[in-house]
Amino acid sequence: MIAALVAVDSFPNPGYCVERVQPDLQKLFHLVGIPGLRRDERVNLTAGPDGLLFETKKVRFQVPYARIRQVLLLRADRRYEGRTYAAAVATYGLGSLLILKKHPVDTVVLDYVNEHGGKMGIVIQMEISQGDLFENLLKGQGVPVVEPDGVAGSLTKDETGTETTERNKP
Amino acid sequence: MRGVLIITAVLASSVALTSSATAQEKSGKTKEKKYQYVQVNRFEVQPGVDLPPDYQLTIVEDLDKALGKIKTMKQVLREGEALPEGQPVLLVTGTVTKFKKGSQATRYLVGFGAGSTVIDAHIKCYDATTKELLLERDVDGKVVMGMMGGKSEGANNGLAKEIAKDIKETFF
Repeated sequence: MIAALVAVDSFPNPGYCVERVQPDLQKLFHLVGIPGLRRDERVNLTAGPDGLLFETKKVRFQVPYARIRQVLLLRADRRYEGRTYAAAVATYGLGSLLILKKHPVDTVVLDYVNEHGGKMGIVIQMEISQGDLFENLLKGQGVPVVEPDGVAGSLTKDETGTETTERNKP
Repeated sequence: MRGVLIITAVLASSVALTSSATAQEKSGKTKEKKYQYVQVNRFEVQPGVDLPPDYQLTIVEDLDKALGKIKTMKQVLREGEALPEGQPVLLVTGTVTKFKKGSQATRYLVGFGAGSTVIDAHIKCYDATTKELLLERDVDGKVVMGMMGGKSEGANNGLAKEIAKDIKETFF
């Protein structure tokens, strides 16, 4: 019995195990739209063969490419309250000035329809480098990503973390 | 003696009036409380109002969540979904009439109402089948203060909660 257990243990990656596929984009900020996820909860994204898969430890939600109607990619800013709070506590209040610092991010507004044809939407935020990767991933699957120029004029920012502005590429 | 009689008569008539009004109110509410399905359309934005598209979407998602918490609600339908047959459906539409972006940093560092985020909207509730206008109201969502100044997205949430409250009080 012990010998059998030792024998099994000596194979770290036996044949029947399927290695977990690494998500394409990790630790994105979920703002709204994914059932079961709270605002600002982190979520991983995988561009699978059939659709976009949003995943956390508890939640798994897929949006098929065929149901995606529009994807908007916007420049935005986030403020990290947690870090500001920690800095404020550590520096007797002076660190609260960290609230002035904005972190540039890309905001993705995903418009899709559910199985009944109802209009749905998901908003997520990611690092700027991830935004470019996301755009390429979707283009690779034949889903166009719109970076609004005309809209962006009227889109001028706001914060909350989310100041939305035109996404100008260097 | 005559005075006592008059007072008694006045009291009796006022009691009768109150009870009839209550009955009417009840019957009115019963008449309106027939909805168990709500369809929420995406809010329009009044020309000249700079509402970011993510906010536009967030309002509907937050409203969907807030309406879903009403106990007697069977289902919140999305724009474009087929209506359930033989069931009355309440249709909710809205227009964002004002958006002030505010600033979380200003709220946190200055306070006293500075940097507040404000979203005003005009909502209309119809019977989805007859298109009869049942409720029309101005609502707003604000973030004036909060943890580290409070996130501006809280304005969407506040707006959604106010709309859900109005709908719950009137129709559920």
